[in-house]
Amino acid sequence: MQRVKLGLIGCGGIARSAHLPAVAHLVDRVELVATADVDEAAAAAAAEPWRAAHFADYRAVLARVDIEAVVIATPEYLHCEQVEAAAAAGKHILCEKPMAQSLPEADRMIAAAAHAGVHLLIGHSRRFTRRYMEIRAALDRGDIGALRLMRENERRPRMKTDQIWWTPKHWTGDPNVSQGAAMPNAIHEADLLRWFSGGEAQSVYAESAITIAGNAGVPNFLSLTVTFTNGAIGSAEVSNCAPPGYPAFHQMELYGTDGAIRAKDHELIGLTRFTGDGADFPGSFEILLHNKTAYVRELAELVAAIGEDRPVCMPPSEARAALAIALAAQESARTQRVIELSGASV
Amino acid sequence: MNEIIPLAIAGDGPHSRALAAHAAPLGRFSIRSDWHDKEVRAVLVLTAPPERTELVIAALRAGRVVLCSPPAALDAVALERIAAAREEGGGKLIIGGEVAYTEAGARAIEAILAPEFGVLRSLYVAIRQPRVRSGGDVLHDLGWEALDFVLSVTQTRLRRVHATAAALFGGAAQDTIVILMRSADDVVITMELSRCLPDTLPAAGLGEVEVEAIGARQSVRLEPHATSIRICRDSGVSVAPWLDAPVLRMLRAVAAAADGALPDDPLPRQRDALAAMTAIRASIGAAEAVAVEQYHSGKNRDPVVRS
Repeated sequence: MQRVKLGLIGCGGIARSAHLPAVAHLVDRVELVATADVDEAAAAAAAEPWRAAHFADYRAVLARVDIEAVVIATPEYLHCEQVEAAAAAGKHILCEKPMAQSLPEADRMIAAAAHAGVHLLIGHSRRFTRRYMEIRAALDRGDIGALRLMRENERRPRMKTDQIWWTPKHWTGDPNVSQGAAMPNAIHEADLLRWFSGGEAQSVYAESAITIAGNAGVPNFLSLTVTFTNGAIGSAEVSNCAPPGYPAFHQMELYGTDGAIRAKDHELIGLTRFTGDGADFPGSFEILLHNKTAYVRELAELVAAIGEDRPVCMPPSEARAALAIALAAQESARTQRVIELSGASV
Repeated sequence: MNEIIPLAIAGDGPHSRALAAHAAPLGRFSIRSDWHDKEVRAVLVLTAPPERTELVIAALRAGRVVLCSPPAALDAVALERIAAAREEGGGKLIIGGEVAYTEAGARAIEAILAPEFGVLRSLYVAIRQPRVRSGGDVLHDLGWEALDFVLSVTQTRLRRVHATAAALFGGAAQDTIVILMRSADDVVITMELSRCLPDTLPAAGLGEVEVEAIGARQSVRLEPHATSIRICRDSGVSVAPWLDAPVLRMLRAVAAAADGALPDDPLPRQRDALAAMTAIRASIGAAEAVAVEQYHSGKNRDPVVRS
């Protein structure tokens, strides 16, 4: 079987921690031939194990005729431009979530991929996480009857020293390009709530906050409530700057007419270390929240869709629907108003 | 000091039985059957409002130390009657919220209010009970307890609220409510109250109580099982509420007040809770958040009476 030649656009944290390990895991199916990052040293470091070419300009990757597919692992404010360019160059695309900064951008991306006849898979990694796949399967089997109430908590600690995220040192903390926790974090919650609910979002209410010193005005905390067309209610709280040492975990609870499902990372933490500074949970972030196998499945899905010439399992319209919820949460938090959605996915 | 305190318990239920069971062995109390007995110095009022309010007023007017669950009253006029009765009779009032008086809940409050915790950034409070298809309005039945804890922690009034509520599990009354709130000093509070637990997730007493408070320097997480005892058998799991801790704390507070200590005045928090409760109810299904301040007036009341 011929390996799919890949380009990687964006060689920052998520590329290093998730996408490059996934590429390495699927070495029988993919070959990384070029990388790009505005930080050329990062591009070179990502390329080096593969002896791949590396560039500062992503367009140089797209210009390579041997590349069939690209992984776009850049911040969301770059996605629309890069996806449109990749589609125009005839590349299949795996693009990090959130899909875009706005719904019109998402529409342009979907149209560009459709026009070019290429696959566009948005990397909602939790759809490929075994725990959530099992939950979806349990719901499909009717294990807990009709789903009525969903609860999610996502927690991450901030760094002990030199906190970067949500400060001006990192794009997430730059008010010019970052829209806050609703996008990189709560987009997961928005997608899972909708995916599990089996309905479409009807209304969203949210509160947001800035919870760390040095934040230049980008909300890093979000609590949202979503009602769905089938009557289900979902709520989620994302707090990604808890004090150092707090465990990173994701807590999902679903209550149906005939039962309940609970999936709590907190209860799955297998190792707690007690030191003079208190308790910590070594490995919990890597193992539990950033489930690497999910990224492997995600990339494998794109490769399989290319090889089998079939649609990807999660059409980009699904990612657009999650984006609509996240954007509504952001607007609600800004205006203190309930944001009514159309109840339609696209 | 440390003399035996004649104590009367008004009301019947798990808390009454637990209080009665613990009061005598403590060696500080002698139980009397009628609170009107002139020797009675403390009265535990464990009936539901509005009977609770009238008993509290009468006992305060008679100069007793009075302990009751939140809410002491369902409307602002009644709260002022309680204040007047306390003034008139010289009684002392203690509001014994079960969450706040549970060992884990009390420790959580202490930790959050300690200087080393840092500024409170966010607070999550959930109470989940088994499904009871004939159950009453969940906000009324559980909201006072949750609000009592929230206000104990925030130590400020609430600024705005918005609630989403529904009857999700087969009954006629609203069995689920999710409330997003913002305190006067900008803490975002998420409060979830639901009768959503299936039989296989038993939760006795008040139910599963889950609390998570994230501060600038520390955080606190109270796991649901921290307030109960789980008994696992081959035939299944049963759960008993860990009532000892809140009951003992309540009794100690009553004894201290009977010995002469002046308890913190609970009425300001009761007024804040009443305003918040009225605002929450007004916000259910509203198009925007509801400001709580407008309900800090003399005519508020929670219109739903316990079923």
